[in-house]
Amino acid sequence: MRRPATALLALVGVLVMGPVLVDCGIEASELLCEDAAALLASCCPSLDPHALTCPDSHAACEAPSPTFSIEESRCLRALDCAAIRARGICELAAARAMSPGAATRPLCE
Amino acid sequence: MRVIRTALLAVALAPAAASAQTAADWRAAARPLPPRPRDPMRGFMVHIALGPSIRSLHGVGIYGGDLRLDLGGRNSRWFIAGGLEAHFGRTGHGLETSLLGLRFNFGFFLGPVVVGGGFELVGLQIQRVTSDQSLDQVALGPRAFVGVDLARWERRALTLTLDASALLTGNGWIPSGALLVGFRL
Repeated sequence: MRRPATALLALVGVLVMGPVLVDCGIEASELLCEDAAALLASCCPSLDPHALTCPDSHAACEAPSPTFSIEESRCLRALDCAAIRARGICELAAARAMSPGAATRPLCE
Repeated sequence: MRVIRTALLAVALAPAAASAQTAADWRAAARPLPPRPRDPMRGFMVHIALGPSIRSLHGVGIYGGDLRLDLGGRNSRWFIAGGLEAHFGRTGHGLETSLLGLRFNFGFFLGPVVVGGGFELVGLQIQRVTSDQSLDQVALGPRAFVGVDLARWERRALTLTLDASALLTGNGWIPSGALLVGFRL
């Protein structure tokens, strides 16, 4: 027979560690995409960040495809505003936002 | 003749003298010890601190300010406390972040220096820029700190603390550091 203290300790352990281990939380693709979108929003005044799409690990199966791949997100985050404007990334991101899924050249490579 | 009589008297009285001494020893042992002086630093403790902090999740830096409140007990050598932690900040590119956590601490006073550790359970929230939703993360992990009392007034002190933690998540970890100025009483 288990002692009450042991059972209580086990319950606390499950309650505390459960959410940590079961809920994967924030995926790298989500965070990197959102951070890249925030960068574009600050560098491209005409770009509405709500028009961009980033992965959502908690979304339903029919989640729209993200505007940036994880590689593009990493590449964008390494640029400054001058480089983003000079490469025409603001216009390219706006075009992708207008027609999601359409084949375009990479935003950043 | 007188010398012999004195010697015989001493031999005859020796057991009685020894017995009297033993009784005195017993009485001294049975007497309660004087009370130990009370530790003047012993008692309730409150520590509030705030300062800049840095965290990292998936290589994205999170910069902001932390506010921490600990309640517990202490004496002149060590303390044990629990408390709350709050953070507000941004990622390097402007995503708004917030964090709320529960903490458990213990530490030791080594002169003006305080060293210790503990663990914390936090909820981290990062506001999306592409929607009105947020990214949420629960994390748990150990922490360690070293501090110095910049100034002291009896039990009260102005403190400077360097704090570090490594929080475990379901798919990674969140290293963090903070430099906090606080007040302990």
